Amino acid sequence: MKKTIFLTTDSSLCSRILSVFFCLAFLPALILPAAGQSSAWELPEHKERINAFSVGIGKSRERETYISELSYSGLIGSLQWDSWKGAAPDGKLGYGRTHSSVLFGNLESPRGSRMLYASVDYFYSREWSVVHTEVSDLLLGPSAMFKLCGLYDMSNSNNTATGDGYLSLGLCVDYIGRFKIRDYPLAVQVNLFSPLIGIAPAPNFDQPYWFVYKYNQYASLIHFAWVGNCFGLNGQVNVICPLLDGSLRLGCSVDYLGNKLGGHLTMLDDTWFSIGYVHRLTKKK
Amino acid sequence: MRRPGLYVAFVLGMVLMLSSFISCNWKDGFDEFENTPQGNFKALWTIMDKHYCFFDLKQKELGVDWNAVYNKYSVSISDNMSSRALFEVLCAMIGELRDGHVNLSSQYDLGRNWHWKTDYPANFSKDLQNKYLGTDYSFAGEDQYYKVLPDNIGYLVIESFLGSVSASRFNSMFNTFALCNGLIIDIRDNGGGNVETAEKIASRFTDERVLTGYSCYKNGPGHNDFSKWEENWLEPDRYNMRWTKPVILLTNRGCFSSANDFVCIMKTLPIVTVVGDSTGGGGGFPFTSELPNGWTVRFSSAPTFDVSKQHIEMGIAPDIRLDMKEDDFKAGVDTYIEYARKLINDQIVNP
Repeated sequence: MKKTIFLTTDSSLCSRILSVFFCLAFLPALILPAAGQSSAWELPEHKERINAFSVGIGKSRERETYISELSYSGLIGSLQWDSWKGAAPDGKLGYGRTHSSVLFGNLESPRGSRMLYASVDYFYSREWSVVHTEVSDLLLGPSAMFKLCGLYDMSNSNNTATGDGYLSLGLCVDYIGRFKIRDYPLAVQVNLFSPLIGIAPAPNFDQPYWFVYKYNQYASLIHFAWVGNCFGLNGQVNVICPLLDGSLRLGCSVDYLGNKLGGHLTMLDDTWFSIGYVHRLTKKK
Repeated sequence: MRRPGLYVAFVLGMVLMLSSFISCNWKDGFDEFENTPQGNFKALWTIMDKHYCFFDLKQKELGVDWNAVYNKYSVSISDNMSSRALFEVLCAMIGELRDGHVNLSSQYDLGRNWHWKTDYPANFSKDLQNKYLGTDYSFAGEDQYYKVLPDNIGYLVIESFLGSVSASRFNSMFNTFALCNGLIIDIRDNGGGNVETAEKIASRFTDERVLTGYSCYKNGPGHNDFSKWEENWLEPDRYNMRWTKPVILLTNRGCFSSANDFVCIMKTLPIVTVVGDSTGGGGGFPFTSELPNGWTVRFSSAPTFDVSKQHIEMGIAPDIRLDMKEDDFKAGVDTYIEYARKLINDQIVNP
C-alpha cells in the first residue's frame, strides 16, 4: 500500500503556484520602468472605489474521503468580484479590500463517476501600505474570511454530499507593480489570502447527516480550525491593461483548501483563468 | 525602496515556508491505490477495515477475522486476472461478513451475500397473502395495504418503508379499524427503506414516550472507534389517531434494515406481540465509497442497538416463534395470519 503524506503533493502544488507568483511579482521590479509614467493602476484615493468583475474558466481537483476515496477533477466556471476602497486621509483604517467568488463545476473520477461542485467565498480585509513607490505598492492586513464548498456525489446512496470551508481570520497581501511596454502602461496585481484561525464545518469521520439531524448534533459539525489542521490559500495574479474608461483584467487564480477535520481528509484545489473589467468610481464631493 | 519585489519575495517566501512546515506536520495521508487488481483489492479491504462497524460482532458470531480474510483472498489476486474474475473474488471477500448492507456494485452485477435470509425457511407466500387481501383492499400509503378480515381483525401489510407516511390515510385506516378487536401488521419480506417512515408508523402505536434503543457511528478508523451512544426515543404522534388495542407483528428472515428497526421499536411497546421468525438483521446505517476502478462499495458504519443494548445486526428474535406449516400452505392457509387471528381472538374475544 503506497501512502502519500497529505499535503506533500499539495505543498508542491503550492510551491509551483507560488513560483509563478514570484516570477510575475518580480517582473515589474526587474523591468524597472521609467519613473513618472502614466499608470495602469493606482491605489484608490479617499472616497474612491475600484471594482473588478471577472468571469473565468479553469480546472478543479477535489478529494474528500467522507464521500469517496477517489480524486475527482473537471472543468469549472467562475464569477469573481474584487474591490478596493480608498483609505481615509489619516490612513488609520487603511484600505478596504473585498474579494468574492463563485465556482461551479461537474467533476469526474478517472473511472467516470460524477460529482457536482459549488463554492462561494467572501473575504473582507483592511490593508495598510507597507511599501509605496512609483512602480509598486505592497499592502498587508488582516482579513475576515468566509468560504463554503459543497460536493454532491452522484453515485453515493447515503453519504452523498458534504460541505467544507471556513469562517476565519487571516492575512491578505496585495502587491501592485506598474510597468510599461513601449508607451503602453500595464500593471501586475498579485493577491494572496490565507486563513489562520477560525472555525470550519466537517462531519466526524462516518457521522451520518441523519444522525446530526435526529440527535441535534449540529454543534459537532463545527471544528476549531487553524493552519495546523486547515490550510487555505486563495491567490490571484492579474495583468491590468487600460481600456476605455476602465481597464481590462486578465488573471490566473488559485484556490486551495486542505484539512483533516473530523478525522477525514479534504483537498480542494481550483485553478482558473479569468477575464474582466476594472472600473474606478469616485464619490462626488 | 528600489526593489519592492524583494518585499514581495519575502512575504511569499514566508507563505511558502508556512505551507512546507504544515506539510511536514500532516501525519495521516490519503491512501493511494492503483487501478490494478491488487490496488482494487487492497482499496476494498482497507475501506472496509477502516469504516465497517461490525468486525467484533462478526468475529464473535461468524468467526470472521478480517486480517485472515485478507490473507485468504489476496492469493487469488493476480495482475493478469480479468475484471470479471476480480469482481467475483471481491464479492466473495465482502460476502464473508454476511451483511445485507455490504454490497459491491459494478457494471456486471451487485455483489451481495443474502444467506442471512436464503438459508432459512421463507415463512411467507405472496400468493397466500394476496388471498387474504383480496382485491378490495385499501392503500394506507406507498407499499402499505389494509383490509378488515372477516373475524373483525384489522390486517395491514407494509411491503417496504421506502415511501412516506400519509397521515390522513393512516387516520382513515384507523377509522376503518375502529371497531376491530386487534390489528395484524404483516411486514414479512419487507427489505427496509427509510428509517423515518418506520419511526413515524411506530409513533401511532404508543401514548407515551418510549426508549427503543441506542445508536452510534464510527468516529475513527479503528475497529472499536465509536461515538458515544445516543438514546433512541419514540415520541407518540400527538396530532393524529393512535392505536391502543393489541397488535400482532408478523416477521420473517426477509425483514431487513428499516424493517428490522421497526421491529426493534415495536417490540418495546406493551400492546405489540412479535410473531414469526427472527428478522434478517441489518442494524447498521450504510455508507458508500468507491474503488479506483469506479466500483461502488456499500457498508454498515453506524450500528443500532436494542433497548437492552444488544446488537440487532444479526436479527431480532420474535416473542413467539412460528413456522409456516406445509399442510396449511397446501390448503391455501397462511399459518402466520391464522395464528395471529387466534391470538387476538383469544386475548380479546375469549380471554
